[in-house]
Amino acid sequence: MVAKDTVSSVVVFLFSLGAFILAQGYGGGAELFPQGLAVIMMLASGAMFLRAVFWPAAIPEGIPKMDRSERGVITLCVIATIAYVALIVPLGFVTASVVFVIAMSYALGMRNHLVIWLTAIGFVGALYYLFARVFHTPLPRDLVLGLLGI
Amino acid sequence: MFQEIFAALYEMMTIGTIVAMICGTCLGICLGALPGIGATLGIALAIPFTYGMGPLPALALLAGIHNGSSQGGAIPAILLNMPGTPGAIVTTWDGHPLAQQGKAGGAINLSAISCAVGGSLSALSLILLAPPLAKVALAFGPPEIFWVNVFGIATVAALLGNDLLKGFIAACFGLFISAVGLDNVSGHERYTFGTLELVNGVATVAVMVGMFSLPPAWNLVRHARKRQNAAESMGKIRIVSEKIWTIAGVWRAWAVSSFIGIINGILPGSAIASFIAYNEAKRVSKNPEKFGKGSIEGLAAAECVNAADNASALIPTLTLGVPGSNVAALMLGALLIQGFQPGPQLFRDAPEIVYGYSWALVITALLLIPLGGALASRVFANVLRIPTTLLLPLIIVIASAGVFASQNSMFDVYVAAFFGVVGLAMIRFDFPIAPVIIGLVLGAKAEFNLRVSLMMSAGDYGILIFRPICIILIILTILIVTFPLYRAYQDWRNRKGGQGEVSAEH
Repeated sequence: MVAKDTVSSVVVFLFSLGAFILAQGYGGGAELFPQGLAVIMMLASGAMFLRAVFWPAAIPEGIPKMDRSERGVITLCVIATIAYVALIVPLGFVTASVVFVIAMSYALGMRNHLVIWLTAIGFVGALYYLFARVFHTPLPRDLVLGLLGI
Repeated sequence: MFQEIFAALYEMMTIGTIVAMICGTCLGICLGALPGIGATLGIALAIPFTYGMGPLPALALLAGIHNGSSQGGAIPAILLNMPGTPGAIVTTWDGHPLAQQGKAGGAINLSAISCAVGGSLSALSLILLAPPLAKVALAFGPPEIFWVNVFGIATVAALLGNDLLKGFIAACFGLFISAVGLDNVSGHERYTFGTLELVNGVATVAVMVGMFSLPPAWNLVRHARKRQNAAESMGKIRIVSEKIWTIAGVWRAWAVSSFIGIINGILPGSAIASFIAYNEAKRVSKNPEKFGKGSIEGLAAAECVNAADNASALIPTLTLGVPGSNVAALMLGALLIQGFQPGPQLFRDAPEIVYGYSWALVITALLLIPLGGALASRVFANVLRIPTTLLLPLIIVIASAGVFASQNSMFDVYVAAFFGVVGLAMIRFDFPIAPVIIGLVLGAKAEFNLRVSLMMSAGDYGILIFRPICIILIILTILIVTFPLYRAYQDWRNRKGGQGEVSAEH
């Protein structure tokens, strides 16, 4: 708990300091609001740091610590999500989403091939159709569907 | 006023709105039934889909999700002893023992009717209490509106987490995000770093979806094994619908818990309403000894209070523009997306929207009786069988598609992913998420009113202080901020006292 608060207070302080310095360049009163906020955040992070160092007993109970395997799985999910988001433009929505759903399901331990493939293709296809035909908002153009002339 | 209220009811009676209410309620029950999902994630995912809809069907859909998820949380609580939503913890105390006695269907039916009673009374309180409050708030000038916003942000920062400092930092972070983009008054660009997409500011939907849907989706894997084991055991439970209650047996529990729930909704920050309502229902019951062992009244109280704060939490949101909960903050964002500025002027400028939304909350609460009762016990309970391993990527795909479609912008999807990671880090470091969203939603309005006030007074800060309503709001803000400090001091003293006793025993 102490380490968490110490680290986060330093990060918040540096973020606020950076925001304060950046805001100095704005004129016409545009700098007042962000600078005021930065000062409040710096004071709060300073108080948090002092509390962590001198009065750790006052830190309220936080969420329970994750074990190593949980941390690993969540990190995998985050990285996979970032990769998926990055692949939407080059691959298109349908291809990137189908690949993502199938890959994630296998990576998380599911082995029911039929359910995985049917859900991935059916669900993503239905979503694409919903946006394109019902909401009239086509999702990013698809590479594979484009090659197939769909 | 009554003419407008009933005119709004007439406007709600279109096929599109009725379908939206039914779909929203069904969807809400399913989402509430999935542990780890619930109303906040459901509404965050649904908001981008409402872009292409008219305001009334959009709000009706969200009202259905809101009420539906309150009842959906009871399904795993009763069947699996696993609360689908935080409010359903108390439901497990009597709901699961009833299921073990072979009364699962009856218990789900009772939970649906109790939610319908609590939800509809809460929505009626919104219809009756909000207009007079809005009338008072309409008299506010820019300095008062500024303080109302500060009060709202302070309330959420101080009461929705368990750490005042972290709550304030989170709120300030949200206010910072709202400052990104073109300054409304001077026209200066702030924190855009030369990025064209940031000139109009950070998209509220992208931040909301990123922070409220991605971290819970990623965290689903933590509960995957537990849920899978529980879902496998569900097959052994025989769901038979039978009437296990009478109005004479539960009306006291409904009355007490509805009242507590409505008050709890109006006063944000209290997460213990269900515990208070349960204890009060036990106190007024003729059979308090049955509580915790499958009491009908205990289940009725727990479920009624869960739904009773849904609509009443929107009283400060709709009248003052100050949300008091995660869902209320999302609803505020949903109104902004539909082009309506939440606040007292909404009652004057668009009464059909605000009353229509209130009616949607009444109707969707009543829809829980057919949809949440018989249907839930036979059909919706099966959503618990969906494996988490499949659910997680599907949520992320829906979130990405929704965020993209909201403004046809891939940049917003990147923003959502970024704020998802930020949200996850904040949760890991024990920072609350809700103040960020509330800061983001109220930030521009607070800054605008602050600067207009200062222009009105030619830079004299006295205008923000020496006005009667400002003084009241400042005092309320100080009280709200000092309350957690007092509570922390009391906790510390109790802990110190406890340690003293232990060392004395040794």
